[in-house]
Parts: sequence; C-alpha cells; structure tokens
Amino acid sequence: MEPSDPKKEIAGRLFDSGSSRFQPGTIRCLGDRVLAFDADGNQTVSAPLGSVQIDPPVRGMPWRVRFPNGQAFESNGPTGFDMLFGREAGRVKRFHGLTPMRWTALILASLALPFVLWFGYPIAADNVARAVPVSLDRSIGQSTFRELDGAVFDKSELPSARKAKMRAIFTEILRASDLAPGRARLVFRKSDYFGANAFALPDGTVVMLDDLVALAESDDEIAGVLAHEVAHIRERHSMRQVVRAAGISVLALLILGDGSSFAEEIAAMGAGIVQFSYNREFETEADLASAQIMRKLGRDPNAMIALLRRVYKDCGESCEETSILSTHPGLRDRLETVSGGE
Amino acid sequence: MDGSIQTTTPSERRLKFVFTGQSKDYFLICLRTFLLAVVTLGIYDAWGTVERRRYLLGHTKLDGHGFDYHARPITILIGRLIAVAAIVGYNVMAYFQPGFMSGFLSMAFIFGMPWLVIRALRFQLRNTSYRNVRFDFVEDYSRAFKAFILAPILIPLSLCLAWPWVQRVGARFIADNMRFGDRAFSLDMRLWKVYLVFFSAIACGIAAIVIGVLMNGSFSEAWTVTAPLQVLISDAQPMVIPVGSIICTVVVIFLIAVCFTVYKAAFRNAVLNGVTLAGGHRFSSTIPIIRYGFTLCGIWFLASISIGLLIPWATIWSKRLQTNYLVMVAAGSLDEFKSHGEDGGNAAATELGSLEGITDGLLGGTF
Repeated sequence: MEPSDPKKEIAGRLFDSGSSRFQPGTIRCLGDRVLAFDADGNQTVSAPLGSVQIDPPVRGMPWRVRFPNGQAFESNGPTGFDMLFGREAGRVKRFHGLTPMRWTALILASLALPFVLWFGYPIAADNVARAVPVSLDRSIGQSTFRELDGAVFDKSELPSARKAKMRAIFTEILRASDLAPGRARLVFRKSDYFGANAFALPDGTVVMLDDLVALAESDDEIAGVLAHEVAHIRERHSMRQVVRAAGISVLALLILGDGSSFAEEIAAMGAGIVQFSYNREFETEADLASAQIMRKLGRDPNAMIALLRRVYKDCGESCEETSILSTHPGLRDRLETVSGGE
Repeated sequence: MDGSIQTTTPSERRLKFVFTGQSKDYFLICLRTFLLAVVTLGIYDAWGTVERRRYLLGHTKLDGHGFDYHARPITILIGRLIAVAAIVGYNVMAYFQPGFMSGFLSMAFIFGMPWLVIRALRFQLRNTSYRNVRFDFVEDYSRAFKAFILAPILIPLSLCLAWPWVQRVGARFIADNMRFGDRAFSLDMRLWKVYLVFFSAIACGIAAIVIGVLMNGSFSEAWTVTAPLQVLISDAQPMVIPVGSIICTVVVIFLIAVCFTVYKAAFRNAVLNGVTLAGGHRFSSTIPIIRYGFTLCGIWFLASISIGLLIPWATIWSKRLQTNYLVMVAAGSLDEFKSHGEDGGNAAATELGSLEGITDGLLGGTF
C-alpha cells in the first residue's frame, strides 16, 4: 500500500460485519476504491467506490459508509467527506443544505406556484374534460334527473298553449346556438323546493319550473333563461366542473396530505372558494353566450336580468354584488355581461 | 414518578437515551422540505419525510450512538401514488355504485387494516438501525387480527373499561414480534398502575366538563362582544360573539386533552418498563406524567394556533420530553448484537416491494 496522505483520511468508528461491535478506525479513498483501516493501521476492507453506500448526514449527524460485506464506518464529525470523495460526496449532498441563493429561488418558486396554478390549472382540467366522452355526461344527467323527478319535482300545471309557445322558442334557440340536434330537450316541472328556477342537466335536459314562468312578463325573458341553460349544455359546464373539482381534491391531497388537520381544513375551505369562482366563471360564460344567441334572434339580451331581479326582489343589494362565497355573479355584473357594455 | 426501585447488579449499566435535536435546525429542514414539496406538487415530500425522520432518529442517542433511518424516498413515493390512486378509484366507484362500495370498504377495512399495520411496522422497523444493526418485525396476521380487530370489540361492550387491557394486547403483539438484529423483544407489563391513572383521568375529565358547564352558564352571559362587521350576506342582525363560552369551551377541551395525554404517558411508562430485550437488557421510563401532560398539551396548543409554524418546535420538545426520561438497563456490553441474515441486513430494505410504501402513505404519521 502507498503511504497515505494524512489529509485524505477521516477518523471514526469502524463496525464489524453485520455487528454492533466497533473499534476506532479511519477511512481513505484511493483511486476508485474505498479502504478502511483499524487503529493499528491494518486494512480491514477494500471495496470499489460504486459498491459502497454513502449516507450523507442530515444536519449534525455523522457520515455513514456501508460496505457490501456488512461492515460500516461512521465518521466522528459531519465534515471532511467532500475532500475525501470529491465529486461523489457533492452528488449525494446536493439537496442537504441550501445556499442563500437557492433559498431565495425556492421561496420565489413557491410564491409563483399559486399564479401558475390559478391560470394554468383550469386550462389543463378543461382539456381533460374535453377528452371525456359525451355519453358519460348523458348517463350522469339521466340518473340525476330520475332522482330529482322522484323526490322534488311535481307535474307542471302550466296550460298546454303556454308550453307549446315556449317549446317553439326553445327550438328557435337551439337552431341559433349551433348545438347538435337532439342534444337538448325541454321539460316542464313544478317544484316547491326550488321555487322560481331553471336548470340544465349534463344530458341536455333543460328543466323549466312553473314559478319562474309565472314571474315572466315577456317571451324575451323566458328566451334569455333558455339560451343561458342551452349554453351550459353546449359548453359542458357540468363535466368541466366535475373534472376541475376532482383535480383540486387530488392536488390538495398531494400538497397538504401529510400536513396537520388544521392545514387540511384550510385547504378544504380554499378549495371551496376556488370552486365557487369556477362556478361564477361558467355562469358568466353562459350569460355571454345567451346574449349572443338573443342578439342573433333579434331579441332583448337584457330581459333575463329583469326576470332575475323579480326573482330576487326580497334579497336587495346583497344579490346585486358579487361575493367570493356565491355561486353566481351579482346581478349588476350579470347585466353588464349580457348588455356587452352597451 | 415511577416508585419501584430497580435493583442494578454490578454488570448492569444504566444508559440514558438523549435527544440532541435543535428546534432551529429542524425548523429549517421542515421549511425547506415543505417549500420543495409545494413547488413539486407534493412529490418531494417523500424525500422530505425521509430527511425529517433521519434527523429525529439521528439525534436520538443511546450510549453515544444515534439511530438512523434508511427508507428509500422512491419507495415511499410509489407507495403514496398507489394510495392516492386507490382513494381516487374508490371515490369514482362510490359515485356509480355507492351501496356496494360502502360494504366493500368496511370489509376491506376489517380484513385489510391488520395487514396494513403489520406492513407499516415492518417497513419502518426494517429501515431503522442502531450501531450497524437493523430492527425487524415478524409478520403474524392472525395475532394482528386478534389484537387490532377482535380485541377492540370489547371496548364498547365494557363501556370503555377494557381500553387499557385492549391497548396492552396491541402493545404486547408489537413488542413480541419486534426484533433488534437476531434478538427478540418481549413485554411483561402490569396493568394496575395504568388502571389507577385511567380512572383518575376519566374522573378529572368529567370534573372538567361539569365545572365547564357550570361556569359557562354565568360566564357567557356576562361576556359577549357584538361583532362590528356583518360576516354573512343574508341576515341583517348584528353578530353576537359569546367570548365567555368560547373561552370556557377551549379550556375544557384543553383539560380533557391533558387527562388523555397523562393517561398515554402512564401507559408509555408501563410498556417501556415492561419491555425486555433478549440478553437480559431492560428499559426504564420515568416520564413525570402530570407535568408531561400539561407541557405537551400546552406546546401543541400553541403549535395549532400558529398556522403550523411552531409544529417543528413542538415536535422537538415532544421528542425531548419522551426521550430524556428513557433509560436502558443494559446487561453488559452492547457489542454483542448481530444482524439477522448473512448480508448484514443492508439489502433488506431494497428487496422490499414498493407495496411497503403504501402503508407509509396511509398511516403516514402514526409511527
């Protein structure tokens, strides 16, 4: 053996193979071999660098080197291994301990992430939703409709002439909306539970409730609501909402899953607020499309808002304002959307 | 606190466990791993978990040697991904077949839980070492089923009176199947002292609730604050915040947590005092249970109102409190331990399938 360079030698404890028995020893790196010596300077093991397992220390711990024969070496202190193993030690050590530069970069990246997610995530989720076959929208919508029909819907009490007129308007809207023929249908129901309302189910069923029809003062008001619901179907808002919500749950689980229960509460609240904002985004999209269809038909796009004001007449100012905890934008913002700033 | 005087024969040495971790170091590790986990959408947390666990174990020292943790982050990551896939898959299935899936889940829980516990213990212990020798856990499904599914049935049947007994069944199962190298652990623990603390803790807990309810009556009406802001959109009435009864409730919950922690500390003392390691090694744990209960609950109360910022500090304090009262009564030298298996146990971790990490994903913080 060549005379060793004392600078390239590290002192520590040398454990017998697979045993808790140890003696003072040193470790050296010679070419691509790692050698260990006992206190008397006798070589006890020699192994190729690639076959030894080097465990870098987590703050304050010793370096540990495990040889393939079960022997192990533990350094007395946490320093010195860079010099001994050079590049090899640098590679295993890279992530343990950061320079101020890297700390800054890390904090900036953490701060930037919310913005990337805020703008990028809806686009990514919508691409996933687009890949889902429409037949799934259909089966979900049908089963939802069956459940609602059994539980909270009653037969409509509207005169058949009124229904026929609304069906004619609906056909007119479908033609103007570029929706595939047969993709949507209109049904009439009465519901004490929902009161004055209308909705679109993902299978293409538009449900018009008697109480809303009763409040309407013109055909344009009904047409505006129908166009809004048809837009929900055309833009597949239900499926997009499902995909976005599912993705957010998975993201929250991944990022904060190991955190405290308090962090999970905060995450759940945050996810809820984000989903409300997505819902408002879809409502605005449907209002815009409704206004477009109405203009194409030569009808008044603002009429729908007049009807909504009548529905919410007891609600006053709080329904005019958009709040982060509401599913729909405020009426004032919706009027601005449909009027297109005219 | 522990009254029994342990006789020490001349060949026995009392070796103190010492925890040398520092809050500042651990805080920086937690902050860095958390930020890296955030920017990698959670993926780095597998590496972070290993680093945090290595820090805590590495600074738990016995006779001048630290423990170490050898799990490969990639194993934990794969396990977690499978766990996430299972949760997502379950939710998708439950959406279409709710009735079938709830039945399936309860069956899977009953028969799968003991298996998961065994796997988790095996994974964690095989990846933990002390002085070049690994721990291990022997699988015994039928005993695990008895300990974690059958025995707990007695808890509601006995109106909770069997709780310490059921816990001992679990502790004995774990101790009897635990190995350090080629040596086995065993547990022989007396329950009367645990039961004494158990009944005292229940009595104190009930007293706290009764006093809390009585206080609440007079206290809450005297001390209310009218909120200056309207938080809710719909109601027009100003919000009245009952400060008095909120404080009462927090204090009562805190005292109940203290009672529970005191009981847990007494149980921990009893288990550690009853554990032996083949070769005549004993342990002695003398945690001062009442002081420990108040300190630990105080620490974690502060941590919980700090949006998580004080969690690293609370973890270090808890470890210090638990470790520094633990002593190993060693019969002779600690040089005689041998690894189980010819390869020194080094390959044990790598040969474990990625399935092992699932338990880490599901039972993450329990160990």
